[in-house]
Amino acid sequence: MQFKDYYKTLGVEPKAGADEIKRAYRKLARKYHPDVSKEADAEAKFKELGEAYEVLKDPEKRAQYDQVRQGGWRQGEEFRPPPGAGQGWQSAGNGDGFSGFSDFFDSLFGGLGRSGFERAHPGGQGRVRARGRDVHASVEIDLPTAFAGGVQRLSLGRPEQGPDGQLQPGGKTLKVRIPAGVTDGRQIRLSGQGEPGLGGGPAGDLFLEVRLKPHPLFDVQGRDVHLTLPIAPWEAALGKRLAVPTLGGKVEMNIPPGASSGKRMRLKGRGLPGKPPGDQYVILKVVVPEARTDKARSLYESLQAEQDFDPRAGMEV
Amino acid sequence: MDSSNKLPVAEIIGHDLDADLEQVCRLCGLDSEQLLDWVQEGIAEPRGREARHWQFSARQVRRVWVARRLSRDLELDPRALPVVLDLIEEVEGLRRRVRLLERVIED
Repeated sequence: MQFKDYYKTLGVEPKAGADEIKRAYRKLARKYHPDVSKEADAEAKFKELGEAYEVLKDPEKRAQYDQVRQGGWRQGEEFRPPPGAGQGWQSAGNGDGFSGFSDFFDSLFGGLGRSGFERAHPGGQGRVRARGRDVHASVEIDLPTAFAGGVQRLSLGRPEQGPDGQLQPGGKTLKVRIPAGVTDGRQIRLSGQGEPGLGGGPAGDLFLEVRLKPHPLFDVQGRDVHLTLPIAPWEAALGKRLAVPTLGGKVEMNIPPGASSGKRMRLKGRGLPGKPPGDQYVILKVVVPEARTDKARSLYESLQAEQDFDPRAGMEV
Repeated sequence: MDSSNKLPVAEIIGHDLDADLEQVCRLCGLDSEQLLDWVQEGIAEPRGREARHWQFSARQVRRVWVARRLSRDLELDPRALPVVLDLIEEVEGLRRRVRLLERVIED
């Protein structure tokens, strides 16, 4: 595992005070928070920040970390924990320890990341009858599954933070039926798929935040689906009945004569299902072919001679 | 018989499954008093007059969920959250629009 320089992660000096560390964290957290950031690796960076702040904001953890850091370790250097660190926690070796932070964190502070259920119910075998904890995770669904519904294999591979900030256990694989019409950012519930209950109590539920995977053809906005449709100049000029892909299969559509790039046409009810279902919008994109032969060039020249057309007429140039 | 019929079925909260006060509190880890305050602040706008009859649409559920995350991670003041949520929704809409326009103009 690699040594992590938490001061470097937060961009502060090792002598920085608590206020400075808090300010640095807040500034970077605003930049990389997955709900607001457009950076591609925002989620990973936000996690790194959270880990660094978790250590540096806590005087006890910070002192322990500083002691290790004084051994001359540098960012990214291969790290072996000193004897006695981490209270014997063995990480799963996948880069993320049980705490939801890195193996490096667990090697220093292992055992501090027990699930909230265990923290709330130490021992766990009493006579108390209690409902199991709800589990929170996120899931990526492809657009055809969101449209038609289908079976999805979920891998709850790593612990995630629940709404209260407590970590949820991972390491579970589950096949579930996804209903048709799920859209980006929605929460779905799988009843009874959370943590088992205590003393015969019912299991908790599994809540999943849905992320739709980008699709090579379609863009989605709510339940509406957008498709950019390339057409030839003569199809745009003369109009044509064309086959258009939709999530439910191809449909025929009339392109009116004189259509130009950017024209938006609607296929009612062809978006994601729901009450009411979304629509599919088709945005035309006129693609001009190269004049590859003498004949093609001469046809373009004939068209130029025939048409009294100046696309820059309004520019006074 | 299709064995997939026996699989657990996911329900969309606020769509297949009613999202009332209790359900949203449970999902988002809030107590009902905090959710009442948040609705007062305009973080979410459930349908229904009295709190016990409130129904949150899937979009409103998401606003409460994201508000909870922002308030936890960035310690945002609840009074600032409605503006932040509105801006996040606007930015998401604009990013989708930019992606779409890029498809139209790119070769």
